[in-house]
Amino acid sequence: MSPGPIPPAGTLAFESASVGMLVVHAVLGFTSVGASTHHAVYSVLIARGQKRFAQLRRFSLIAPAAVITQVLLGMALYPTYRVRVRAADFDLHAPVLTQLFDLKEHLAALSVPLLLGAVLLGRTLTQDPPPPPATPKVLATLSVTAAAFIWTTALIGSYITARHPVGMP
Amino acid sequence: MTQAQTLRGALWSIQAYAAFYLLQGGLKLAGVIYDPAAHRAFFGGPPQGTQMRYYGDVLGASAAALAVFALSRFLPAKRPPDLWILTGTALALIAFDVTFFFSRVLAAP
Repeated sequence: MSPGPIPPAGTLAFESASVGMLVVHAVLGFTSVGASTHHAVYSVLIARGQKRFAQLRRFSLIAPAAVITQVLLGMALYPTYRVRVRAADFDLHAPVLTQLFDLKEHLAALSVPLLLGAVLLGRTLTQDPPPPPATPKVLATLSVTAAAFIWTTALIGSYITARHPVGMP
Repeated sequence: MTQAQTLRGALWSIQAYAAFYLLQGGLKLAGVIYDPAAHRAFFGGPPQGTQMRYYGDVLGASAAALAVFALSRFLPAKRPPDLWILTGTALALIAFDVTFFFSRVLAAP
């Protein structure tokens, strides 16, 4: 598919700040990986019968905040990537990287409802009456899946950035 | 909102998000398209050139999930939901999404 006319440098949304935003995106990526992994670990420990509710509550705030901020920042960077990296480089020279990046974006988008669902389930754990007995295991399943998606997103994102970061010709 | 409604609503929302996301992207249905070169968003499809539909797909799926969660508040929950059936359905839909998008990586030249 023809990319059409490429707009002049500096004319895309957030393009002038893209390098700084990419650095923040990377830092938030590590934060998201760490927070979602902690959430998953405490979910598994609770499913195994340990009383780690305070820790789960803490990471039920930190993990979604980090992941949602990260996704929003990624969305802000997306127009610059779409025109300067994908259309100008990957679509022409490495189409597999285009699809790999798209997979990363989709995994990031799918991790959000999984994580928010896990957070909602986690809120019911300490309520009276107690939730159905399957709740801790379902919570752990959702949280571990979300963390696996976020890890994969971070690894693919790091690889893509190593191949061609935004802000570089 | 009762506990049963919260549990059911959370898992229904994941199902709605995954189903809507797959339908929008997989079937290339019309949606919100953003043209980064023209700084313009519009409803239509499929995207041409550097136009992108990611924002529209995420927005649409989020709206579907929120609508389903809101609906679950109003539908009575007489007994606790069967969490494993709801979770299995949600994860199966997510797996369809991932398989579809991963297949495009494998099919890339």
